[in-house]
Amino acid sequence: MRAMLALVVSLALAGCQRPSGGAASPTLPTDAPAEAQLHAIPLGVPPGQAGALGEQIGNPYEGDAVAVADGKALFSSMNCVYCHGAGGSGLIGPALNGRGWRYGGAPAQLYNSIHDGRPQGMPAWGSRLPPDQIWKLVAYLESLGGASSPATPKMVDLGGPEPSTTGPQVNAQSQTDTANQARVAGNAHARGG
Amino acid sequence: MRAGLAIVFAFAALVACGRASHRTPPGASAPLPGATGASANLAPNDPPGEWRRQARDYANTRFSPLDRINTTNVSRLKVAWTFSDSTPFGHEAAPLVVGGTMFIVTPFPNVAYALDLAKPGAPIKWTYQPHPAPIAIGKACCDAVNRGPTWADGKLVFSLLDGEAMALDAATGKPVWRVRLGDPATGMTITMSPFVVGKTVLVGDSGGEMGVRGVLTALDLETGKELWRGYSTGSDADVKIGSYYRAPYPWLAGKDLGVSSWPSGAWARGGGTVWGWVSYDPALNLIYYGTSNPSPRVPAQRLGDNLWASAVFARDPRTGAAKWAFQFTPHDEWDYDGVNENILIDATLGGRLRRLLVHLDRNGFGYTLDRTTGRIVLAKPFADINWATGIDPATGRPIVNPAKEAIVGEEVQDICPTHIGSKDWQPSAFSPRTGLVYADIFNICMDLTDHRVAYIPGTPYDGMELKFHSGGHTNRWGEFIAWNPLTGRRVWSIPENFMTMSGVLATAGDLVFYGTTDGWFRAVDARTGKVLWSQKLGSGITAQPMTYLGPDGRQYIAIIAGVGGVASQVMGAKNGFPPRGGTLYVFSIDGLSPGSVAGMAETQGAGAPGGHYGAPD
Amino acid sequence: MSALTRTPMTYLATAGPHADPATALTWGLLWLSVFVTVVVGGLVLAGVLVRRARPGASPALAPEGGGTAWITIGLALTGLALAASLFWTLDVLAEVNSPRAAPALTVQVVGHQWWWEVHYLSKDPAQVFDTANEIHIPVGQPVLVEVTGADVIHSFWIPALAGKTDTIPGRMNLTWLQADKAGVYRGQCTEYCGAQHAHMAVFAIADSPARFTAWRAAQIAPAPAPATAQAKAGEVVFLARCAVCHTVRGAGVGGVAGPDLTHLMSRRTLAAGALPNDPGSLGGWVADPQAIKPEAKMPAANLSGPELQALLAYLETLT
Repeated sequence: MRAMLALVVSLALAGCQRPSGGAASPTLPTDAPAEAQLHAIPLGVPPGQAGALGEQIGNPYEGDAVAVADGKALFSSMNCVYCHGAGGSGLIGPALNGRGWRYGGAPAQLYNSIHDGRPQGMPAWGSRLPPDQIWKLVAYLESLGGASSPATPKMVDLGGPEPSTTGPQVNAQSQTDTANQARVAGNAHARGG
Repeated sequence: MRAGLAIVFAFAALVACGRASHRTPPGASAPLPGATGASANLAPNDPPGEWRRQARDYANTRFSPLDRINTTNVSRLKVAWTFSDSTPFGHEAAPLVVGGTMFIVTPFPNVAYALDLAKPGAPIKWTYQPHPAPIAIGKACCDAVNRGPTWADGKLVFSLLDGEAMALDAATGKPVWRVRLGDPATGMTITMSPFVVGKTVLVGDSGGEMGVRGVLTALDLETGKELWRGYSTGSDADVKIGSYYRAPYPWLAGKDLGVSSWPSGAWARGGGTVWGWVSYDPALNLIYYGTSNPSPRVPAQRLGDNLWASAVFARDPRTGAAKWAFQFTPHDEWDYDGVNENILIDATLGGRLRRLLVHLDRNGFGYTLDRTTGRIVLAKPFADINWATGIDPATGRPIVNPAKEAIVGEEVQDICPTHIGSKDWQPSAFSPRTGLVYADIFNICMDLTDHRVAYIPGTPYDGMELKFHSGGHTNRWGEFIAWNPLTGRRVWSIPENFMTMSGVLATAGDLVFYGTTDGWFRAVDARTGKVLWSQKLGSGITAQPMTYLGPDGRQYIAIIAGVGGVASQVMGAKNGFPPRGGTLYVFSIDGLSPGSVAGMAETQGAGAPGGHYGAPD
Repeated sequence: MSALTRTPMTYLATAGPHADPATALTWGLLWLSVFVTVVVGGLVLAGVLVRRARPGASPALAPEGGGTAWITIGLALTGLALAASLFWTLDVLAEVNSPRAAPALTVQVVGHQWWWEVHYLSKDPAQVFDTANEIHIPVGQPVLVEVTGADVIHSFWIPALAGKTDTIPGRMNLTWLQADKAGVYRGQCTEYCGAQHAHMAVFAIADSPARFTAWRAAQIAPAPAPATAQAKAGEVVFLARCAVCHTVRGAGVGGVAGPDLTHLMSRRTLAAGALPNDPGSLGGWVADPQAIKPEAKMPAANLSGPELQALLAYLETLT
């Protein structure tokens, strides 16, 4: 619960800057708040119970074709393709192009699966890839059609200097709304557990 | 010393025979008229009703001397009883039967079951759950499989997917020892069935797709203590090539070929893993086993012959010292592992008794080697292939077709066979009565695109992008063949629409049994290839058939239906490919078994002691 | 060498048998063109300036067919000049198509956005190794170069040694290099390939055969294990943060997305000629590649100060 509150606060504090939705920006940082937020999402929670938090954090590269192409290249060069199959069709590891997701198909849940790994052999990439590259991989997975959209898409602030012209608008008011929803969801989850 | 050991083995065999309730019927393995002339030493001559190791005998014949089920009554085979282990991964092993108890080890999570064959319905005697680490599921290239236990000296020895080997007390199911041989986080897993020679347990590693270095480890049967390790790559000291070694061909002689046939340092993650079958010749005191493809699978990153991957080793089981080694596919560009079984047969050729080794390789050539020297006696294609035009008799090296060589970034079309070969690990059988080898093979070709690949420990070190299609003159995915190992010719064959990947059982009833990946289990006349009986099972078949004599004196045929493994990866998308399963089917004449009468009177109150409402442990 | 030193990408001063005939052809055709231009210009001028007799006289037409001999002569001379150019060009093409002697070695060059991957090939696997952005060759010996691309079409051009060869993904083009004088010959990607097309230099370094052999032996050797505590700490950082893309032979890792770094310190430049290879530049490059070479595929690793210092200490051991 405390972790969730921390996440809510940090989300609220994360400011109103939206990332660049266009071609990769030379100064895309790999900032700590975004990672801290994602770490607050509980691991291994079954899909549907992952809480509103994870489902509401959007991909900063939502709809960015260049990021999808970069993500596809990473999917090959990081050897993902040899476990999950060409186009995420599944091989050693599960298919990534369908509707079934063991650990949730929302962008932030996909991010967590890549960042922290999963128990049945999925390695943790958090120390190997910076956050923006993990998001690009998520963007590629989303392009395969099976990922679920965030309920109310919210961009993770990567500190990009340019306002996006393609991503959805996020303002302080909706951040607060998110915070309230998240708190409720967090309580419900606490009771359920 | 060698002679001494042979005497010990002969004595042990005599003792075993003396104890057996059913002696081998004299002449059960005698050749029929018209046989090829090949025979086999069926040591250690276990009681004929038993099945103590995956291939039944040291020579890996998978031949049973039982003949109560034979060509005249096989059509009356019916299901006697079944047993489901509810494991969703590919089933690639035969059950064992020793002393009225059946032993099964499931795919991951590698649960061991002992079933009491004396009681109606074969209730569970004990269960052991080893709880291997689940990380191994995602590291095994081709499904979380296990190729079965082996029974030795009252112990049930088997491997765990997460890189361990263990032994249970076969009577009680209590663990005797458990040893870790590698770290699954690096991609190392174990799928092979351990092989026991005397007091030595031999177990290899899997992970040729993950840059794992191949090794065969010898453990002490009583304690699990490591005795020696023989690597498949690296220095002569690591590979155990020394003064005992005799190169079968000049190109296989030289210092540290396991280092110098690779680009600088590449041998250390060069594959050549040991995940197939081991055979043993008590007279020569040599074990034989094959090594997997080199890593990475894309050859552009490992120029050279890549010794000793895609090869066969002959070693002294006491020390591990290599006697000879022969590489089937130098600089393997197509993932043609050399792990397939080596069946040890004997035959008189040119007026001289020859000790031979028959090996139907993934590369599509059926090799008959002299197992004392490793030199080729004959090597002919047993399937339609186009990657090579033949084997150079002077060197034993394949003559590669340059049009089918792998190229980085370019699709090379219609390479036959595909990456799993004309025949994969599924073990063939040899009948001393016909002198033929029976094998289920594939007619699959591939379009191959290579990509340079990163070595990231714990991820595939692969680089091959594949598309599959059926090929060969039949254009059908599977085929069951009878192969004359002395002429290198097919005697007959049965085409199948789905892959055939079950392995084979041959019996003194002149029957051979095999299954298809779409779930048909068949009995075939070993002489003519006529299908005499077929039964559709609940899932596809990638496990091996076996036979045993029950405590009631009946002969049974047992097989597990639970498709998976590489078959599901290659063919799973084809229309009609069955779902997974994990059910043991036991067949007998008319379906009779202990206590089988009309109704359920015999089974009431006859459950296993203590009852089994949930999994024990 | 002076022209090459002043303007390293000049194609008018060449240094090897693949490029020299083309340079001679270039000059030859240039002077021929100048000569033809002068002759034709002179005749036109003469035609304009030389006046016919008696402008007032009745215009007596020249008889039919008069002066056609001049047309024949003109066509013949032009044809002769063009034919000579054609045969010279064909001869040059034949001459540069393949080296006279058998190639001393084979190098595979793969164009990437935005760097050059270099594989030294050999029948003897012990002579096989990878490097990047620098091709060392022995002086006076032809070297076969297999050229391909990993992502988009680039073009491989070392003007002093050979003409352009496109790097086309999925296709292997062949060219060859031979330098008759020792020296450093700069090359460049010459097919626009994205944002950092300009920062995609390649260097051919021609050495005496003895020095080349020594260089090759040093390159084949794996990287030594780091000795100092800081370098050891840096290796840990490298394995965790860099190794999925970069190979250091000997460290047990093998990423292929970026250049092989086994002997990074033996190279003259960083980032395909974008920076000189000195400690300051290396630190700046590792800390923030995107500031130096925007859109390069190398991300900022977001290292802490001590991590960066340790990593640099490790990289400096890769001599």
